[in-house]
Amino acid sequence: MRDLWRNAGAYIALLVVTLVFAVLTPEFRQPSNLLNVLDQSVRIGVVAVGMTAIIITGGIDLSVGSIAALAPFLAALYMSKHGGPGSNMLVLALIGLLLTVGTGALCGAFTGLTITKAYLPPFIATLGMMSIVRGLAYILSKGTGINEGIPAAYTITGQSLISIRTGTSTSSLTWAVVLMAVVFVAGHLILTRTRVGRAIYAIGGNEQAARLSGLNVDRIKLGVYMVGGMLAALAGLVETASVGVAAPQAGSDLELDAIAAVVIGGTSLFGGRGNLAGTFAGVLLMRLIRNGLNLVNVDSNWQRVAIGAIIMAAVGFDEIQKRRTIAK
Amino acid sequence: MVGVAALSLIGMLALSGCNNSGTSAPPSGSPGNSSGPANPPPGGKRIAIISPAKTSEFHNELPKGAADEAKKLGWPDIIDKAPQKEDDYAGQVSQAQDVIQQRPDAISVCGINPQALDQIIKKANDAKIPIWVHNQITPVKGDVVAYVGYDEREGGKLCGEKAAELIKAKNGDYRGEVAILDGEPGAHTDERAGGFKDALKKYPNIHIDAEQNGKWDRAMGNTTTKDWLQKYDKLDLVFGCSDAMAQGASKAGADAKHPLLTIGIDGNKTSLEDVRDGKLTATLAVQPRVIGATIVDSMNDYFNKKDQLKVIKTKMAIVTKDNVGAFLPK
Repeated sequence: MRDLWRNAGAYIALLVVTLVFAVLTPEFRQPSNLLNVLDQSVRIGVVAVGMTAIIITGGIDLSVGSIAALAPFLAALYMSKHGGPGSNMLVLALIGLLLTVGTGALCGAFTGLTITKAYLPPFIATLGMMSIVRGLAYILSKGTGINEGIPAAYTITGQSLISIRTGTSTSSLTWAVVLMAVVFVAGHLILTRTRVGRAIYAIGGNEQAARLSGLNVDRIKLGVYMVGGMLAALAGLVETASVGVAAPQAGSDLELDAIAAVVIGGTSLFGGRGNLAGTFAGVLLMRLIRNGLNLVNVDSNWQRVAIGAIIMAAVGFDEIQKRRTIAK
Repeated sequence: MVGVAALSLIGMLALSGCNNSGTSAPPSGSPGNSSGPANPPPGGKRIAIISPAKTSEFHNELPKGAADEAKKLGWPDIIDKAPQKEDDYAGQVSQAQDVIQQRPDAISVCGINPQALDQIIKKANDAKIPIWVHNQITPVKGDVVAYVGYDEREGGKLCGEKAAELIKAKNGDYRGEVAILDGEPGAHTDERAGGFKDALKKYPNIHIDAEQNGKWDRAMGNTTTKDWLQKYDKLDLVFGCSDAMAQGASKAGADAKHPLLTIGIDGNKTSLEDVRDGKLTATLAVQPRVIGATIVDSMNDYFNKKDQLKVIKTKMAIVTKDNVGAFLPK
């Protein structure tokens, strides 16, 4: 319960933003727009789950946007080269999926190793990886995306699950939302109900104490960055499916959006505190602001201003609350 | 801790240094260091192309066009440089300084912003190396031999005309609704979107529902269009100031089963394929390789002391399903 109160800033902001836009624009409160908002939260949402765990350990991951570009691009490169008449598209799609997730895991493992074995601070290690991975994506692609030879089964996350037809257009909830739901629920269960989850909080709370109490801190950190990498790769797949091209420019600003969502959701950048309910509120908030401002046709540069202001307001609210509780 | 941070920063700098020389080294085929500027083959001119970044197809293709044309003229491999990111304005200036150290016979630059361009031109002028400006045809301060590029405003107008024509074909009249995906604020957006809007002024019944910064980004073009479709039920057409954004829009239309016309600017490989497959309605092919070749031809004219225009506008063309065959890479 105390944890829930800790995220109050995010929930209040979510409520206020929703109310303001619901009053301002009738389209905002249509069920079809709800589907639209949920569907478009997936990219940030999936990454934000991994990011939450990473930040709870006291780390950060700036490389997720780059991984979201490289992983599906490598898969698309493979699939477009090896596909063709007569090849089994389902098998090809499965190989593509493995390549995507594998690339993400590999990048995450490399990051994790440089943090645990070479003692790089997570900020530096992932700043380096952000640059390396993005660079590789541009080198391999020469700036050009791939839109041909990608089997439909690979982009299943873009397939519609539920849809509402309003007027001349259809708003859909795609399979990507199922992916997001699974990732959030699994993440929540792991963080709250398992030893690994408790270890993640313990490491962020006091790494030295966690080590002394016999936790294999290095292995858990490595795992957290690997999962973060895999989720980033999946977010890249979701983007590929929704835009129809595997492009080296994909995942642009994804790391910042995900970190913003996590921070708005009340997870402490110093580690040890945070939860996925707050993160989900943060993700929704980021998306609702963009959606609402698009509907009232406000310049998207104001979206940047609004999101910045909400980060500061939500976190500021939480910090003031915390201090009050301590004072009592 | 601080030591580790400092070490890794140094490591990163070293890495990014490697990365630069890796991506910008002249194409292999010139063994060893024989392609150094000190000993160009007799009669051959060694030239440099400085791009904003190699993160778009456009700026990857343009130097290739220049390199091919230089090869045809029997010139040595070109120097092909770009900073890592399209917003690394200081990086572009320092790379230009490195290029000037190599004493090429001519330089062509596409400035990241007016400040970078201004400084690079000044440095080349000081070093007495003739300089061209590409992908921009608005003259700036300093001694520039020629400006080579397509007319972005004219390009936007062509897209606007095409938009009106497509809307008439769809609705039976010049009557309909459009939305515009801008790039990041700046001259490119002003010219392209401005030209588009100029063209539409002739058609009072074609209404611009919305205009939004899509950050040149495909995903942003996609989500913004999905949001628009929540509100603008009769949206006929989305114009993207770049192909990537228009592609994002076209996928949004397809997923929403909303008949949406889409026009972009670039004529990239994937967008031409999308035009062929009926996903993207039209694109303005600006043919970066042609621009690259035109720069080299202009340089050749300069070396041969031929008269030439100060502003050289390269050809562009609206590509639809009907003529896409001629533009698709073989």
